[in-house]
Amino acid sequence: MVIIMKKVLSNHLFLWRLCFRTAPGFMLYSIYDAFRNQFLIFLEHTIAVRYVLRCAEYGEPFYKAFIVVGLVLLAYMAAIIPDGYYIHNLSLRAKPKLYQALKEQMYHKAAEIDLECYDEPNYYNEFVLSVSEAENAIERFLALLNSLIQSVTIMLTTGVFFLVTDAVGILFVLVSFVLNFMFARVLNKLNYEVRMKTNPLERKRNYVGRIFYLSDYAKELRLYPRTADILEQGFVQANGEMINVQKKACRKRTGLHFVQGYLAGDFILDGLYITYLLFQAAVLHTIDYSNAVVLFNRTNSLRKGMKGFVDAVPKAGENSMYIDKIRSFLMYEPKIKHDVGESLPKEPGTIRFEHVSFRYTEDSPEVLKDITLQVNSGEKIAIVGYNGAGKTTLIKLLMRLYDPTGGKILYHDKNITQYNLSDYHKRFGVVFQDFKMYDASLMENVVLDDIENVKREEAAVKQALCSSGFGERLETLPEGLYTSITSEFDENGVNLSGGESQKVAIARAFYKQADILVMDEPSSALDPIAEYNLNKAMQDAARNKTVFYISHRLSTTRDADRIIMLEKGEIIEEGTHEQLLAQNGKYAKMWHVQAGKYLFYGLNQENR
Amino acid sequence: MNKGKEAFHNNLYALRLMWQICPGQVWHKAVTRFLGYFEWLFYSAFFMRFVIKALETEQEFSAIMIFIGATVAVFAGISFYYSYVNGMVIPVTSIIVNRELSKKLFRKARNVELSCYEDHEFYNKYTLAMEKADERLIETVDVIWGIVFGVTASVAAFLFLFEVDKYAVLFVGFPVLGNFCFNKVLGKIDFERNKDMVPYNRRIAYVNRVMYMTDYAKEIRLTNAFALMRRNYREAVQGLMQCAHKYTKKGMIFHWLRVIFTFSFIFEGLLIYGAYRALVSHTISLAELSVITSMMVSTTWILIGFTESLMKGFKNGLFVWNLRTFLEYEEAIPEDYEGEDPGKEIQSIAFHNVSFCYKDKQVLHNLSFEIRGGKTYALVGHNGAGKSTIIKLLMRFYDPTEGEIFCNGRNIKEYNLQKYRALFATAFQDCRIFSLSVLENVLMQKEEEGDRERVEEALRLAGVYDKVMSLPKGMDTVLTKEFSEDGEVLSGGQYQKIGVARAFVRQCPIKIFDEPSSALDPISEYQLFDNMLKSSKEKTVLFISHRLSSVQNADWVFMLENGTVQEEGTHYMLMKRQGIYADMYKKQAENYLAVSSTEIDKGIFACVSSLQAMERHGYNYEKGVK
Repeated sequence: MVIIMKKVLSNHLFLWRLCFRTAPGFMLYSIYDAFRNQFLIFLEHTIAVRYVLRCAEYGEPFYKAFIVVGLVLLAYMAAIIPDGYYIHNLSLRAKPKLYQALKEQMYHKAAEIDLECYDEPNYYNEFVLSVSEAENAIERFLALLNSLIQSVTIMLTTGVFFLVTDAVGILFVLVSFVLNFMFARVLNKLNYEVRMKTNPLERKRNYVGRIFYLSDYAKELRLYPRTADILEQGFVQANGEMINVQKKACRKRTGLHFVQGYLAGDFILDGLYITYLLFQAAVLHTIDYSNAVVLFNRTNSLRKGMKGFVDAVPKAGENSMYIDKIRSFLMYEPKIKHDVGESLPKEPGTIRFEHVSFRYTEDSPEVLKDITLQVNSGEKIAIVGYNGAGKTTLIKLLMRLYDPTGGKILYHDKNITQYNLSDYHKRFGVVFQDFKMYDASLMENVVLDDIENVKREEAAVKQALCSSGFGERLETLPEGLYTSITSEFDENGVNLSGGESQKVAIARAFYKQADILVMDEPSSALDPIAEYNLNKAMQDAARNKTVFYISHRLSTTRDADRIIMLEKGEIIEEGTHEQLLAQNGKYAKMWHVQAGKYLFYGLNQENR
Repeated sequence: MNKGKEAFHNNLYALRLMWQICPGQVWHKAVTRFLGYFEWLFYSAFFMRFVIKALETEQEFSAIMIFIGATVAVFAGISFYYSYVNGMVIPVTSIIVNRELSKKLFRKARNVELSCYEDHEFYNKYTLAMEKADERLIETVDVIWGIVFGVTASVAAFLFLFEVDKYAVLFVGFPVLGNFCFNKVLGKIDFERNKDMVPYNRRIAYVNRVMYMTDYAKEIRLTNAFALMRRNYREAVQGLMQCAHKYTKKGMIFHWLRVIFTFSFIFEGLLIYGAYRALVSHTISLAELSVITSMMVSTTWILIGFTESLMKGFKNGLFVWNLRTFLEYEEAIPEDYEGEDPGKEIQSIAFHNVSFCYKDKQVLHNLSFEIRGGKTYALVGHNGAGKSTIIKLLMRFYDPTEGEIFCNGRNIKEYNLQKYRALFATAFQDCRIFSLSVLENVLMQKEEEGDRERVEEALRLAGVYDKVMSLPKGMDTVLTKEFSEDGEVLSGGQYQKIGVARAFVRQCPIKIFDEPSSALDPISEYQLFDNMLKSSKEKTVLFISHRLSSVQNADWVFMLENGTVQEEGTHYMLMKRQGIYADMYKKQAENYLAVSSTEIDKGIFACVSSLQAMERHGYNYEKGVK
């Protein structure tokens, strides 16, 4: 319990420090604002009302009441002026800054955590949750802070007023508070248990909802109406189970609601306390009317103050859970570090895989087994194989997106783990199958950096785009290299088609002046003509460079200096196209399957 | 007030809808709201006055106790009712509302034509209506009662105050002014400001997406794209700050007016007025003054509650309107369209001068072609030539903008839609897998006698049988983790094969394969096409591929360009023609054709075997047709 409280406290302190550092003025004002709010209410509804009633009860002169009430009015009028500034300016400016302060840290971390974190579904879900909850966590923290300060203010003002006016009366309030708190905890526990049981059912329910609402599934649902029926049955069933869970908890919950809401609240305050007040006023005459009226009217305010405390506990606990996730994410120490290690020799060198093996998670099968491979600088290597043979994984290891689970990879005869990762990455120009475009100018999409930070090399970027076959399209763009990609955020932006985007992605690799080019199925989205042109361009661009080319279209890889055939994570054949055909092994079989049909035409024509 | 009338009708619609779905919700919400306002008024107006009057007139303490005792008893009953509603009625009925409303929405979502999903405006409206529709419908009903009883309570409070002092009522004008007029201006300011902020917030959301989506992770590590995103984020935050400045002055002025009018003027005003009446003109008693002090608070809050309900009512009206437009939408191609029975066979399918525009872009242009039953047809062409669109029109996901499509000589619009679609077994490039067992994912309906063997065969043909059998529960393994924790996640290629198995398992007169091999490696692809042709002997097959090597075995090839059929014929005829098909084919084949002598030997071998394969299919290569 104490440990948990400590944790909750430390988590919120973490946010406080972050917020205070980012926007000290805003934070101080928001504390003042919460205090000001309840303090003015106290002045108005307790002090002023009591004063006026007392004046009436004891026949004081009117001007006294007038002055007190007038002062309260003036205080209000003055206090609301900065309040407007706080609401309509300060907080609007401060909040995006607070979010930014937290989220930039998280983004920074997101950019450096190990890629394997993304493969771990649990970790990834937590990660997505903590990123998407970052703003809410701050928002909840601010709300909590506000409500706590309001509660404290109520206790310090109305509470003290009760103590001074009629100290015994506060006992009623206290008893009600303690009972309320206790029952609320039991009720919260019950609700939590119910929620745990309904959560998976709700997930099922939402899944079916998504199927029906998302456009992705619309085609299938129309083709297979009976599947829609199966899903709908599942939906109704999940709802039925949810109702059962709720029904089981019904009685206990109704009882607890009654005990907490009525017995611990209304009965004590509206029944017992009022009787006590009346007894004092009417029978004992130890309390005057004006005090009795104010005391009775203000029990609600006091109740609200206590409720602030009661509610704060579960709220803080819940928020702490999210902050915990955010913090543990920020604390994650990546295994593959970016800015440590030696710098690389300038000239291109030899790459060696030595007995490299790899598995994604401890209990998953090996994706690569005992790979040994030497690639000399300037060599053109094609990696071929079936789906799931480990081609892309091999490349990911080479790029150090993962480290091998066994063996090592050497560049310039040194384990690549010893190099500075950012420097090492600079040596590679990569085109992945699943490349992405970014909301930025075309030029930046090729350079992949903020052009404010780097040299503007228009000619080089243009050259790269022309080599990848984007030249013609470039002519048609309204602002040339400075045209925004995607019209989502810029009306003058253009949306590129899949094939065009792929050309831009390829231009990235060409632009980079890297020693090593890595192409992972770069032509998959292109039609045959575009593929043909690309292959021609690639031959020019790749001169003098080491090239890794992954493809399952063997026509694009036959000119490689060496072809590596992977199967089930192992190199099963290796050699030039001719050598491998002569071997008449798996590569030859694969080649014939693809080429056989085309040959039919070729021969047919030659024969005629 | 047209807007008000519209909002009124929409809210009424919501009430009727809820009444149909779950009348209990309507009742209990009404009673709860009523009791809430009743309690408020009772304590601040009646209870207080009674007690102080009793004290002033020095009634017996026991008499006061009886009154208090009765109150306590009544409110115990009310409180018990609340507990019952919160503990039992709400949790259960909200699930019922979700179930019934969702069923209605699902049914509609299934029945509207596919283009609704692509119509930006419609889809936006529709997702807005869907999002938490159940919770919002419940809230709408609650707010309606909030308005109804809010008015009642405001009038009652007004009357009470009037009874105490008729001039005191005038002070109520302040909160009315503050709440209605100034608050409205503030609402407008908020709205305008939010509108200004939208582009920046969208940009922030975009950056957020890029930073956590797996798809971007690799590139972010290898390049400096993070710098781009950070810049975008910072720019957006700067933009938000600019927006904040724009409305500061106006916001401050109206905020001040609202607070002072809504609270200070009525509170302090009534206090001074009451003090004057009690102390100077001596026209009210202490009891009445006390009642005024508690009434001023409750009247203000009742008015605020009422205003808020009213504003929410307007807002809800918009939500209901979205919901209503969707539920009352008249389908252009209703899925449950009853029409002629298309029978069980296909003799011919014909496109007659079909044109189709998609979002103002003409995709198909005056396209005509015909296919006959029992043959194999291939559709080829560049990306964006309109191949998939043809399939979508044929399946009647859309209707042509111009021209007609005939099946067995009859316009396909005349057929019963579900029966018509049941003629086709289709495998799409982008098939979706459901969180059901492999078996159900292939069958796409409940399992019946003898289905198991057929599914087994289909999985074999699709080339994924071994993989499925290696799963812990074989064909009964649930796919994806959405529905069950121990569901299995397979690769994209494997999912595609399961999607293809759907086309194999269905015993339909025509099979359609829309690039079913895009995620497959060459051997799987080769086997797939081989199986496709073998298994559909005597059946009509239409397939799309951009790999021309797989096309040459078709009985007839349609070469599409710019939305129309440019060339058609057998592979042989098209090659001879030396047109665009031949050009495309040569480009693809070039690398395979530059062969060394050893390969030619092998090539001949391969060639002979494929010749034999074609002979098996009954080819006559001179004419290129069967």
